[in-house]
Amino acid sequence: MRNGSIGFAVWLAIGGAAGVEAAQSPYAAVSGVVLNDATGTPLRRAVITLVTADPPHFEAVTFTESNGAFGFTAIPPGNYRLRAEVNGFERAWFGASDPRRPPGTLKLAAGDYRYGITFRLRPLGSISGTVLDADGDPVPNVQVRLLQSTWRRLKPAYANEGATRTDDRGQYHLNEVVPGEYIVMVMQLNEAIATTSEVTVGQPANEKMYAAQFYPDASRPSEAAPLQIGAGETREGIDFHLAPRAVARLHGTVVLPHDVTRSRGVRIAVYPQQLPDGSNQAGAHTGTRGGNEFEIPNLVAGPYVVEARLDGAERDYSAVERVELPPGGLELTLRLEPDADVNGRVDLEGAERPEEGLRVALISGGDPPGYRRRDAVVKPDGTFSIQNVQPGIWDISVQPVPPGGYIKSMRLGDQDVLTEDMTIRWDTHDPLHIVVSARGGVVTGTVTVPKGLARSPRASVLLAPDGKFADVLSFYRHAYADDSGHFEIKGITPGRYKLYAFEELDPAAFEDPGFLKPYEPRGQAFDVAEGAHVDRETELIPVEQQAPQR
Amino acid sequence: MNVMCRALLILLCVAAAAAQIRRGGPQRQPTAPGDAGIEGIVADATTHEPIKKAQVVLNGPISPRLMAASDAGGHFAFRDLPAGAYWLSATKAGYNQPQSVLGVEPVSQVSVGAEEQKKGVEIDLVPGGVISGHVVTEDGIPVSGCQIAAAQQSYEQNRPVLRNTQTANTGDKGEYRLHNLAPGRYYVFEHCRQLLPAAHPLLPPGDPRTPHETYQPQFYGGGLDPAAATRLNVTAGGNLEDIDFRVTRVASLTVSGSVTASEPAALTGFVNVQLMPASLLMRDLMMTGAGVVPGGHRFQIRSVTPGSYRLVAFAMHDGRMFAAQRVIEIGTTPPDPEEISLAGGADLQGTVQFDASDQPSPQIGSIALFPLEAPLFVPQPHAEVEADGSFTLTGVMPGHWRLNVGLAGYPKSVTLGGQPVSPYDIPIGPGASGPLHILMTSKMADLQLTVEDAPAGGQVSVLVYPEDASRRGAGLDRASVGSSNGEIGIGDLPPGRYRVLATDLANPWSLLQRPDLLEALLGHTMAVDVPESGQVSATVGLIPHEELAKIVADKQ
Repeated sequence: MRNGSIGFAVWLAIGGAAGVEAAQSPYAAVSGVVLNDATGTPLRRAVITLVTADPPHFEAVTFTESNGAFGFTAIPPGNYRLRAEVNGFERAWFGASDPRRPPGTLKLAAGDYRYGITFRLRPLGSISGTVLDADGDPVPNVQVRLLQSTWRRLKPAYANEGATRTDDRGQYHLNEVVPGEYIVMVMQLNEAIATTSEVTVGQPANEKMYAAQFYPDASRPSEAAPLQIGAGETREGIDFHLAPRAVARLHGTVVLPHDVTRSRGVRIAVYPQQLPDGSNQAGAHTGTRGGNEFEIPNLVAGPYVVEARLDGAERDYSAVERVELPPGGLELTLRLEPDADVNGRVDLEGAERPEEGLRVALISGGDPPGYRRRDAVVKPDGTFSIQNVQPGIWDISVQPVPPGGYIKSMRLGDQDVLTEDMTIRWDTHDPLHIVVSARGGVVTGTVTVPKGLARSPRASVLLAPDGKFADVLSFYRHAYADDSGHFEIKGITPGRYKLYAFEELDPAAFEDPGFLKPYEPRGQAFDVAEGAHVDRETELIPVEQQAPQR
Repeated sequence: MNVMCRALLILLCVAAAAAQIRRGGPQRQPTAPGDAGIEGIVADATTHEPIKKAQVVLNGPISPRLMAASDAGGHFAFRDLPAGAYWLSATKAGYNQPQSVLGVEPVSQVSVGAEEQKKGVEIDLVPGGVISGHVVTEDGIPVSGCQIAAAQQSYEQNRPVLRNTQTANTGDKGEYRLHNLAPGRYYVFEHCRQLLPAAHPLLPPGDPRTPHETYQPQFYGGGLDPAAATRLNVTAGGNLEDIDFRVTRVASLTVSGSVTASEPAALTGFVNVQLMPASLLMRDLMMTGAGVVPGGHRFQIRSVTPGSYRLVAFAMHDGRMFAAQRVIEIGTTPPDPEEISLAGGADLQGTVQFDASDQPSPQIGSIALFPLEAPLFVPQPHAEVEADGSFTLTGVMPGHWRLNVGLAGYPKSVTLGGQPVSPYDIPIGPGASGPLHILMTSKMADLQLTVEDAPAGGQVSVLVYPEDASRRGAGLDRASVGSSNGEIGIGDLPPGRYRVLATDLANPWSLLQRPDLLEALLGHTMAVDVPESGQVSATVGLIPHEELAKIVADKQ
């Protein structure tokens, strides 16, 4: 098999590669085997991808044979990474036994033949169970979600790791669960159920609902019992017993701005405040009950965020309200206000305007809930205008930042929105002024291994702002050290920093405001000035000295 | 760039001051209690065993509607109801409403007078059937994430199509379970759609030369031809296990290309590009699509397996539709990029005239075209007829259209660009070269039918439809309910040969949507020739509904 345009071949069979006389070859070769970590048996038809470690990136693909063996030959000399993946197993990089470890680099010279590379893939697990009602009868078609507790924007959050529904027997099966700690949640969407067989006109309604429940039958994720799923573990019997709850009705009226004549079609969205993102979101439109009224009949009592939106011809309108929905229902009035336009300019310091142009994007910061993005192209004169920005917290993105550059300042009027949240109100008129500088700082360095430890200095290096900007997530930078412990981080915002070198690091770990606390005494703060180059040594924090992440 | 300062947690309080919150909600006028009652049971339609925990909904002169849950004996009761007409329905997971083309209604109507206690109302539900099995590779490795569809034959414009009635995805052991199936005959179709990596040398990520594989879609029983596939008979509550698939890897091809337009405005918005099997029968099962980003003009549809397809693109701009379609053949080697050019519809001018011997009273009417061919998203051209009989249809896309004239009478002859065409299927090419001349006549016939053996005091209904299947569904079909003496009159029939079917059911009209059943019932119908502006009398034999049900059941 030969591809003339690339000019080298890939051998699919290890049998072909084994006898290669590589000494005179201008190319390198690698071979190895993929095994099931739990049983030691070979895995066939695993996908092996060879990726160049440095840009420009190229990748090649081959498969394992029935004996688990794979091989690449005729590899141009260079630095490479190697990845193995197969259905039902956790994907792995060469040199990283855990996905939180930095991948290893294969340095291949002409004539090199690296053989005996062994991937031990961890089998994925599963969680299954039955959802039952109060009498022990199965409940079909209930949504089941797999959650993992994490941090987002310095607040605890729950990441969705999978979802399914119960079948006609009330059974569910969550597949391909990566080893780790999980919360299982069930919910029935806004569906009222009758509970008695005899109904009399004039008597109180007999209708109930099922609310979200967290294993084992808790009503809040914080009260759930997390499940620890090991590699290849088949966890069964994670059953739920749904408890019917009183139905609460939300009825409301939308007050339109005086310049809006349309009275129909305001969209209402309801988000429970205490459930993971996107949970149990109910919706309605005004107009279905006449005028500016809306009704969401089937909710369970509790705290909600209620949002109203109207897309106008030129202007969008919205209103957001946080409410505690009592069991007896609630009457709510929402006043629509126009969304704001955010106008501003981007100034470049020491950098040319990139050929492909600049874009400024606003990404919702989760308040109000739901993902939104608004963006605009920066005009040649540096100005931009982002229309119809809903009141709330917005994060700002500027793309592309020149290589080695950084965002020097972002101000909304007088307010610093580089280090503080930007809150847009309907009456926000202040311009957003962004300065991008080409002269970011550079930190290079070496990871050292503590005496007496036989470890690779290949670490996940975290550059963390120190002091008053410790909470500014955009100032954090991450890099992998190579096999000799060398690392380089460019485009650093000037300021005071500390360096940490973790043997294992969850990429989202630093969004937990308490994450770095146990390591603070280890790091020595240093200053990075604009355009400066700092070289530092930092000692590896071995995995056994790390606090549990997530 | 994520920016966050924990010290300054700013709460969103916009509109908080303006909002008013009141507990309890609005007080609506509740229905005043009456003294009537309705009670009954929910039962399994096949075994007549009671069904517990079915949700029974009662609608009628009450607000809000009432809801009860059947008890362990299937029993439910609504009490203190005001007199009136009510509609009862029941749902239960795992059960379906009884369905039949012969018109059994899922909702039962129950009327109660003052003080009346109606008892023994039975609501039947049909237990759903199950088809389950596994999907494995040629080596026996389970395949997760494959879509399995249960499909039934249905009709669109009198042409057969396979409709997905239920889909399921395989789990990590390759297992799937299609449940809640209504009784009937099903095709089971595997369409894994996975984009699998294939071996290749070093290439930049996303390079168009990067090869991929996918699994060959197939029917249970093998292949892509429904005629050769195994149809499974699912009974009420039936359970068909081990309906297994063995999938083979095939090259996954990418259909890519660019969209251009006759008018640049057509590309300012979102362009929808769809790839569907050329065979209408398979369209529902294998349709895939790709969007084109506004201003991007390029599309890419991956995971395509060899076969004959129809590539369709359309866009809306300023209320106008721009569309294009083409049949493409995908072989085993990567196809060349397709360039597809969107065209706006053309104007089609024409006239409507009446026969010289015809003396219709002055009329105001309209002309419309109905699309006969997929895709059905094309808007229907529609025009008012001027006093002089002229009209202009705008936005007519190339394709096959059926003429609909909103005037009393029927089109006796139609010409397009001087060539005679059938009003039931007008082929229109790009640019829609007209004119479209329509010669109408108001001379229609009346048909007087006498149904033999009509049950005394019972219900009798007839279906009258053109014998020529290509004319069905074009406004010539009639369904009518007769009086108890078996006399039924049907007026305003254009001339032609019709078939007449009489039975003792209330609403067999949905049979008209099923050409296969009409074909099977041919021997039970009578042919009637209707002349222009005539008066025709005919006597037709009645098919008892039991016999009709048996013929329908045999065919299904």
